[in-house]
Amino acid sequence: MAIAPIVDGPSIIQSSERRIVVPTNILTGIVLAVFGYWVGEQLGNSFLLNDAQNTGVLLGYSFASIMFLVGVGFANYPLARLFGWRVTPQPAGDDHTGAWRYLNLSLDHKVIGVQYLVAMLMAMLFGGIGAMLIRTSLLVPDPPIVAPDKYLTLVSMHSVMMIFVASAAIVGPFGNFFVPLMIGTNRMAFPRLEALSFWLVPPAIVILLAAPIFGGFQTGWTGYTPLSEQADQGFDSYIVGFTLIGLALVVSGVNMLTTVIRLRAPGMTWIRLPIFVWGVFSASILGTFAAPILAAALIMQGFDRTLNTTFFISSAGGSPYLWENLFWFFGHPEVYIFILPAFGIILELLPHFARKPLWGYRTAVVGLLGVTLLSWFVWQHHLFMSGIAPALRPFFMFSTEMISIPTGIVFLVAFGTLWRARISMSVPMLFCLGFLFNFLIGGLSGVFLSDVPSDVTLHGSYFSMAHFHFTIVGGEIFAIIAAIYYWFPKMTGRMLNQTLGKIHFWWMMIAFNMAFMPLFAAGLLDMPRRVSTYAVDLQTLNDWVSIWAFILFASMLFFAFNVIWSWFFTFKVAPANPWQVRSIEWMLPTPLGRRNFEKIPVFTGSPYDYGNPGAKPVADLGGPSDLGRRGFGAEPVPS
Amino acid sequence: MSQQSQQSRGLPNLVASAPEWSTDVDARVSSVGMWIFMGANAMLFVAFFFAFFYLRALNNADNWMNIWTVHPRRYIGGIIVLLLVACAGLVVMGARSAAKAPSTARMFFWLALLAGVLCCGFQVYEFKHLGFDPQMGGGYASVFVGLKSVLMAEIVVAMIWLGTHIAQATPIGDTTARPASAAAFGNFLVMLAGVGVVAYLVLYFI
Amino acid sequence: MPPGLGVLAYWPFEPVVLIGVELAAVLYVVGGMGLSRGRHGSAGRWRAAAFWLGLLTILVALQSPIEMLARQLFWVHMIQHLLLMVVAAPLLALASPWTQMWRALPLRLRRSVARPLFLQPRLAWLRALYHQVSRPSVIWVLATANLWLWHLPPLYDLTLSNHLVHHLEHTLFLVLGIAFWAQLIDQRPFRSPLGTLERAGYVFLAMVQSWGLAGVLSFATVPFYSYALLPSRPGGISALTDQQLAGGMMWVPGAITYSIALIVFLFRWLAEEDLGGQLGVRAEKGQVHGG
Repeated sequence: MAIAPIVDGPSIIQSSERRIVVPTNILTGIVLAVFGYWVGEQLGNSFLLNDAQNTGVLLGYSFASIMFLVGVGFANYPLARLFGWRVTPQPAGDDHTGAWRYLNLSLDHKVIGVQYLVAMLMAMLFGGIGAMLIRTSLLVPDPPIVAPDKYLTLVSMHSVMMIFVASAAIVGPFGNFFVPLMIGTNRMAFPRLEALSFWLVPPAIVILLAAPIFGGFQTGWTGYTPLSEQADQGFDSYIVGFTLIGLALVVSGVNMLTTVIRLRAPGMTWIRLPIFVWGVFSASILGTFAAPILAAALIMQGFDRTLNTTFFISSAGGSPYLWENLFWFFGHPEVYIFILPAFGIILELLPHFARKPLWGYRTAVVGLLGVTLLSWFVWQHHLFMSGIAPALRPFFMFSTEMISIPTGIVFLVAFGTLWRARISMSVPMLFCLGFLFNFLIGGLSGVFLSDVPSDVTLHGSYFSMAHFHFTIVGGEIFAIIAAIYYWFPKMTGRMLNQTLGKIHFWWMMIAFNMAFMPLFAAGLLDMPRRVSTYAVDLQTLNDWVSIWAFILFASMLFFAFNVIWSWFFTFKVAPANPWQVRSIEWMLPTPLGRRNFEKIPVFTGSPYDYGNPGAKPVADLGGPSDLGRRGFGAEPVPS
Repeated sequence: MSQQSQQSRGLPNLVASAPEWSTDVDARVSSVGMWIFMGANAMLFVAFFFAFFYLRALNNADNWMNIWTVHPRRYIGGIIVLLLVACAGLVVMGARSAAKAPSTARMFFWLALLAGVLCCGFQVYEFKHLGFDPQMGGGYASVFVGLKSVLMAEIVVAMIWLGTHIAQATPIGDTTARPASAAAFGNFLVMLAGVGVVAYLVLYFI
Repeated sequence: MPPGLGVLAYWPFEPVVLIGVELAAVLYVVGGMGLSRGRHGSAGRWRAAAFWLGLLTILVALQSPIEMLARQLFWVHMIQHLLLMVVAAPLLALASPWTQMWRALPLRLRRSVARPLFLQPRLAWLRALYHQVSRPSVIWVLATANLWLWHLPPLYDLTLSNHLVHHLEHTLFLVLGIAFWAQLIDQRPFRSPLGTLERAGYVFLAMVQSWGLAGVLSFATVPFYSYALLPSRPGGISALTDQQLAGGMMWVPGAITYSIALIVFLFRWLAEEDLGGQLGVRAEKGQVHGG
């Protein structure tokens, strides 16, 4: 009997006798998720624990997430293995074709990159709406436009959503898409894990968005006990959503680290690794080893809310400081997870747009790794005013100030690259320069916060809010936008409109600084964070900030318009190397084929070797390789 | 690996038989990836051990171990740990023979599965006969329940994973073709066993 | 002796320390006599500087007024130990003075000791034992165990009450510290078997374990050692605060040398990769035909 074409792939399982078709796609995922939520909730409530119904919600969310993943197709390969069917682990091709691929489980890292990009932009939109609601509420000091507990829920939603975005917004889209290209490989180490790290994000976002339905939560993104212990089921969203993101960080980190360690093409030594890959690599180290601490702490919170354990209740043998220490032991590396890939982007783009080699490559690498190392022993600076033993404060003040040294080294390398360069003021370069300006301010304000004497007054005020908004928004978000403008042609095959881009830059830069710079003043004028009412004489300041925040949001909508218009409504395919740069991903055609490299490249030169007439090409892409052993590049692609 | 021509719903199958998917690439990738994952997983348990020592040092409200809490019986805990160690050892031995003697590997894996399931069974028994209740408070009770639950959950998942290796430890199976992945899995179980031993010493003797 | 900072006017007299340092100095100077100046160029001068700085550090740690303050304050005692383990020990390892000091002994003595040690079959077991004990992993375990054991309250209190045991503790810190740093800095004629990246990992692991101990000291809620029995402390701080300061000292300043070493090794490893790349050799072992 003729057996119809059998597919190796995520959803069709091959066996020599049978053919089973298990249709799995995003729709089955959603259906199964809803079903899973119902099952979990019923199960949880059936335990009849004295738990304010948290068990039902927690189990509901957990089952919903698992069933979503099953519905999308993650269970197919393990089940096929479990049934003893003949499986081939390598992904033959995606189960779905065309644009539908982007909405379904794909094991192609390029597809995952684009999926991540869209998901991150959408999550940023949700977070931005939250910010707009916050700023609207703060237009009037008293009585507040939004009631206090609802206001705090707004703050929590905005902050947690943005944390989700910031954790993955660079490594997700650009790390996934470009790291394999930059190291010259056709595969990721663990394609399924990488896909999993993406598909954990939509459930996390949806679960977080569900929080207001259950009463929201008032703790902000830091989830401090005992406030969190007193919260309604809205806080269960935080627990499950953040756990999913933590899991995504671990899974993505395992994949990314292994890929860079093991799958570099010939000639791609560590010293030749593009600095962007170093940024992703160092952030992945932090993500892989810090996120499990968060997961453990969230599990403990979950147990406290279901089994009535007392991890964080001091009258019963627990301690809120346990949460603080565990959370911030993760939380500080987390903020370096945000910024290290952003450094990677800036240091990657500057040489290309300044047409000058990266100044001090090794110094930059040691700077990135230095930040990675030091970020593990500064976390107690978040506890200067929250319960740290006073005798320990000087040491963490010292280590926190020390971490500004490798950060400064990164700036040194950036400016060394720009020094006497022929800077091309393209849109990506504008955003890089904006990053340098904003992050300098943000970073310097961090030094003030690291000093115990000044932190005593500034902790918990708008000063620290301004600090982290300058570093995360002015820093990481600007880097993300620079990366989008830079890599959009390669990822989507379309150029973003450069004129609109320049307008976007100036609009955003001015609005951002106008909105956030006064917040330093607000902090110095004793306005605390997370408050829905404030002193009446600060109203002018807050109104100024709110109006400029609206203008900033409008600039992002303008950007969104540019993205959507250029992507879907222009039909001119972007050239393969519109920026005329040396990096290997631009040597490849646009759009990229399913297989990145027909022949494995042999890297021969640095991608930053501008201005050197004798510079070797970055890689030898097509010719027969003279490294005959092990068949590098010499194997023809089987047809 | 089989190389029959395949069509992937209209996309030519360029990928499945390409050199980057060969088994020796997978072998090196599996071992590095597993080491990194083991490190990450160890951090999860480190957080619980930190909770143990921290809450014990703080002894808030004298409630680290209150009057309603006693150390659980050591022999049960000991059995659980021994079964876990045995499971890990059997998987390692099975992984060693996965390439050459799949049926021997299968036997080892079945025995390991038995040990693992018994381990979980004893753990459930222990939870039901703890002699203390986390709700009655006490930091020790919370850490005990939390740590052991997480460990048990990981063992359960590992047993399912082991099941896939059992099913694939056939002459044409995936485990036989890629023994490195079974070896990596064995390392993971050794790590879990190590955590189990440390947890036993910490929870039952300190 | 007045309590408080007035104690800094007093110098201790530690014959064991003085004799040890002088002996080392004499051996070094005598061993260096007769060698042509500048034989090893500027590297030789740096090594000599490191040697003298190392000895000076030992004196500053143990034979200076700091010792008087250390008898009252845990955190100052911690500084002493840190000076020994992460300042003096790496400096002496950098100096690598062993061949020079050995040379100071009379030739007949050197031969009568060295020949049997290296050649006599009956001492083969000693050579084998040395071979095993001098492995990097063993040294790491020994140095770590030594550090943690001496911080067990009964042993620590013993060092506070018994001067000879205290000297033993310091000697072990110094000796095992030098042995540890010898795994990272090649000691002529011995070469550490570790590669550059392995050395980075080695020092990173050592740093992490010291954080563990520092964490215990910093987070403890009761003072552990007999410093608590002192009626008062300079500055009026409590015994617990004193212990927390000591923990913080071990945690952050104690990590400086390890961090510097780690960064140096990373830098050096990148340079090796660079050299490998230039020679067309894949310096990274185990790199895969990675599609």
